[in-house]
Amino acid sequence: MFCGKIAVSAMVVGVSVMLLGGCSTDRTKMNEINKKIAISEAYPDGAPKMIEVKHGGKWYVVGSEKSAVEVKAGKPLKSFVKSIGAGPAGETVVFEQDKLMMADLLMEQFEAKYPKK
Amino acid sequence: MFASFKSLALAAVAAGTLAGSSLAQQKVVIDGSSTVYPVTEAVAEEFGKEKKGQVQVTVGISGTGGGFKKFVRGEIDISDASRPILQKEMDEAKKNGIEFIELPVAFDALTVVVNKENSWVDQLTVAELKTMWGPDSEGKIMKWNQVNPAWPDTALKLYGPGPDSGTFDYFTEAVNGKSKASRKDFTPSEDDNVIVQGVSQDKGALGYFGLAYYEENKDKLKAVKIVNKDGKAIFPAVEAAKTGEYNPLARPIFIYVNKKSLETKPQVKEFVEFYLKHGAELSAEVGYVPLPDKGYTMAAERVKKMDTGTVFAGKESVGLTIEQLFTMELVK
Repeated sequence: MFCGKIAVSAMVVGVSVMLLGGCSTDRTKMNEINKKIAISEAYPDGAPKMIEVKHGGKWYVVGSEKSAVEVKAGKPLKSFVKSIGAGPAGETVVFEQDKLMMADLLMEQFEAKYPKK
Repeated sequence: MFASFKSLALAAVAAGTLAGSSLAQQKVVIDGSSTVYPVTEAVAEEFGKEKKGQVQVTVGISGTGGGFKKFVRGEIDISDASRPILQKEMDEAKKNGIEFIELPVAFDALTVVVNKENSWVDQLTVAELKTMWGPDSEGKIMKWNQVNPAWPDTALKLYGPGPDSGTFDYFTEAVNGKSKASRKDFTPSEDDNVIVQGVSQDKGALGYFGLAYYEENKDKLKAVKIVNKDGKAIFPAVEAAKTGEYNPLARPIFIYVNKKSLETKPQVKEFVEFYLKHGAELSAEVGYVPLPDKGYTMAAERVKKMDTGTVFAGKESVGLTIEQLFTMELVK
């Protein structure tokens, strides 16, 4: 099954390379395609969606309801990335991390919601 | 094979998102050692106050090995490390065109802790630690009285950093004689707070991590003296690490800075300069041993001259004193 996935992924990447070889706009498109593949490989049930929790004077962004409940109960996150100055007014935000790319995805969603001027 | 494809794809995504956005949004991206994290976090918070939120400093904890994996691929600006960069990591960096500047930022006294209610252990020899943690002890040494017959017939529960941790590498080298050589039947975590929780909740538990985590949790844990090479039992503390008495578990901790980030991102240069200027007071504040002034001056000089390379030639180094650290020459 993994081999099948590799073959499909490799074909998609290969085709995208052939179609998009060259300028930087094309490379950006290719990165987008590769990114979508990587996300679907990493999270077959869907990429984590950000949930914001404010607890104990801190701003948390987590990737599941379970983590949100735990943070609200005062339980520390098992793994996290702390971003000083990430909030819209320069606040510190703690993003949940996993062994894959959760913190990066949550940060992207957070930045899209609170774009820096 | 699937895993390697996936990690390559993930790396590509991370590199794309982080590198791209770092330039656009005045970011400093840092990852790596949980031991170095408290110092870097303290520096980042002070830096954030000074910059009034104009620069975003992101600090992750994926362990020294995990941080270096990202660093040598050019995904992060700074790698926090509780051991020097290894040859294989240097090779990978070279392959990817990454040059780095090695900056020692403090000394740590790696601390062995037991449960507060443990009444039988006040000190440990390196040989006793080896009996507990050696690869040959896996599945065999399961009780305290198997380490020392004077100790009780209580289950020995071990907690330690995971294999991506520089603390794990240093401890295994110092205690078992070979980096990463360890029994595997213990509870590993890259997050030292998990080790704190585990040891504090089990009377028969033992674990280890950087001194800062003990300092922060000394109400919940008991630190153990370590018998040094002169036969003296030494408590893990700032002064003993400074004098070199706390051996072999005192060690330097570092940040590694991507030279290109220093050259192309003014915020990274500013952050590193701020780190070296305030490194002494902030490392002391979180429980580590500041370097003497000349250490920070030397590091600042390396940044100014963009002096790349390592003084460790890609090898682990156990039992190094602060003085010895400053007599070693950079190897490009």
